[in-house]
Amino acid sequence: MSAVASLPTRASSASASVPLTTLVGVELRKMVDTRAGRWLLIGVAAAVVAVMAISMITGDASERAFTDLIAIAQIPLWLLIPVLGVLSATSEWTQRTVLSTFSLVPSRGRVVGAKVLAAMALALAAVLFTVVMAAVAALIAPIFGESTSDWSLSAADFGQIIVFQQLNMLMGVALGTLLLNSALAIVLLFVLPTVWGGLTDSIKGLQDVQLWLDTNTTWVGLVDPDMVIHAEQWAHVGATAAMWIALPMAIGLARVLRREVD
Amino acid sequence: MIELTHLTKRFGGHVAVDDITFRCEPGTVTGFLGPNGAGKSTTMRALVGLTIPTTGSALIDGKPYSALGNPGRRVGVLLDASAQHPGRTGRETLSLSARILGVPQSRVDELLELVQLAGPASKKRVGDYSLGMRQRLGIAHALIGDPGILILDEPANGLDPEGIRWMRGLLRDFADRGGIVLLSSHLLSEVEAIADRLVIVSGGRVQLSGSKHELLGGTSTVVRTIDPDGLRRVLRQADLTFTVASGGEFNVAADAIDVGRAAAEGQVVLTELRAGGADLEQLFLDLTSTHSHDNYVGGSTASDATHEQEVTA
Repeated sequence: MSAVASLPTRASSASASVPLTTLVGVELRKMVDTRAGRWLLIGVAAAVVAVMAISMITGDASERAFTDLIAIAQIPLWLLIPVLGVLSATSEWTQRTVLSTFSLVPSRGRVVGAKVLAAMALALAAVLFTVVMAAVAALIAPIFGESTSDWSLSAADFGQIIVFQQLNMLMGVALGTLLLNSALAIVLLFVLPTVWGGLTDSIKGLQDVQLWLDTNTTWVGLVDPDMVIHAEQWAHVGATAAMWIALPMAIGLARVLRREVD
Repeated sequence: MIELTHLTKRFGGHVAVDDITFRCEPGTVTGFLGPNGAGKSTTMRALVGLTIPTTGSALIDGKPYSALGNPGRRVGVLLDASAQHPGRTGRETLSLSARILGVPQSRVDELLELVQLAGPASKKRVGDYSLGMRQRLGIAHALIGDPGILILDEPANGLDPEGIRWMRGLLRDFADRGGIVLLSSHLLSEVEAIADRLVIVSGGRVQLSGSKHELLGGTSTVVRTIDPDGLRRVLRQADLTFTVASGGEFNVAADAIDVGRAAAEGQVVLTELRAGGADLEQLFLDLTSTHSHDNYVGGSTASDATHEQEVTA
């Protein structure tokens, strides 16, 4: 421990703030550079591969077609992606690494922004992964039995899948930012929409509310092949996003900006 | 330059930091002392923008920490060595920060080498590190942006004696090259060995601050002899004031060299001759055992002979 001479003291304090691209890159890296983070992503990938295998083995011809395989592959993502979103927002608080993160980047809003962008990049990568896996499965489908060679995937459908998974991811990030507690946020992630859906479903006066504000109705419609998405449906999607993403994110951001870090 | 001006932080009704004012100049190591809960950590967190002061200001180079751009290039911070992700390796922890700071990855290797965490230790997960290793990683983390200012909360915590000695050399060298070090500690002997200036807080208030020399150096000398009557005579001849304790220990209000010279001229044999400045531990306990003390602020004037007697009485 003698190489102290290699640490010249910097006289100037002039330095530009950290570029957002750097922060997003660092946030992405934080998702994969721990053993827990890597296993979580491997788990998500394994779940996608598993549902592909199950449709290959047990499905009928229509379930071995490319477009249907893509749709099936969205199910594990739909369940797991919000969990990734929650953890990307909460893990620094549970591990107390916010102490050094905010020491290096005092602008907390930029850190939260970088986390949101990193989570969105991850969601996009996950959708692309499902497309690749569905293509592989469709290619080897004839081995397992009858299959259709329908490779059509419209840009609109593909776009809607991406929007759907981004919304799921952002809901996780928003709830995580609101609660800053992994366990609580993950539980509420699954409980709240179910309770809300049950409530609006069973109470007659709330059926209109369900049409506008239930994730399982409005967002899931984006990946329902039988649903046609027009301006009105997009309005429903947006209204649901306002309630389940924008609102918790706004409150969460205000909380993060003010919160004592220790 | 670190500059705290009337810094106050309240949490609800509790005043954690109460009107703290002091500054740290280039080339100095400032020891920030106080019992647990005295407000040291809150003060340091306010300094790096992790807590917002209720009133007053905490500035670095005349600016709030958050206005420093890429603050890690100017200020190295270690507030809690345990606040690192246990699942990340030591190398990865430094590597992430190197990216944010925009310093080359080769800097990570340099620092790992410097804190003796290179090789297999760098690939271990932080969760498997000992407290001392985590502390050394934290020091590496504080240094990685090549800062001119270090703010370290209990940096010696968990280090072994060799590690403490190493850190002392590192911080001394850092300050001697014009750096500014602010470190808190409850290890009084460590602070005494490293710091040039001391700020003692208790109950959120500064009880005493000033240079170590002003506060502890003093001008008293403790001396023992086999010939007490002879020593009394030569000290009076040399016009030095003194007291004699019941055990035969003389306490002379003069530098050791003057006492030694007087004894040599009078041919009095001494058995002990040492500087008798205030004892930091005693000073600390006197100041922090009660909050009812007035604020003793040594400041830059050296007119503290009387104040010292008050403090150490």
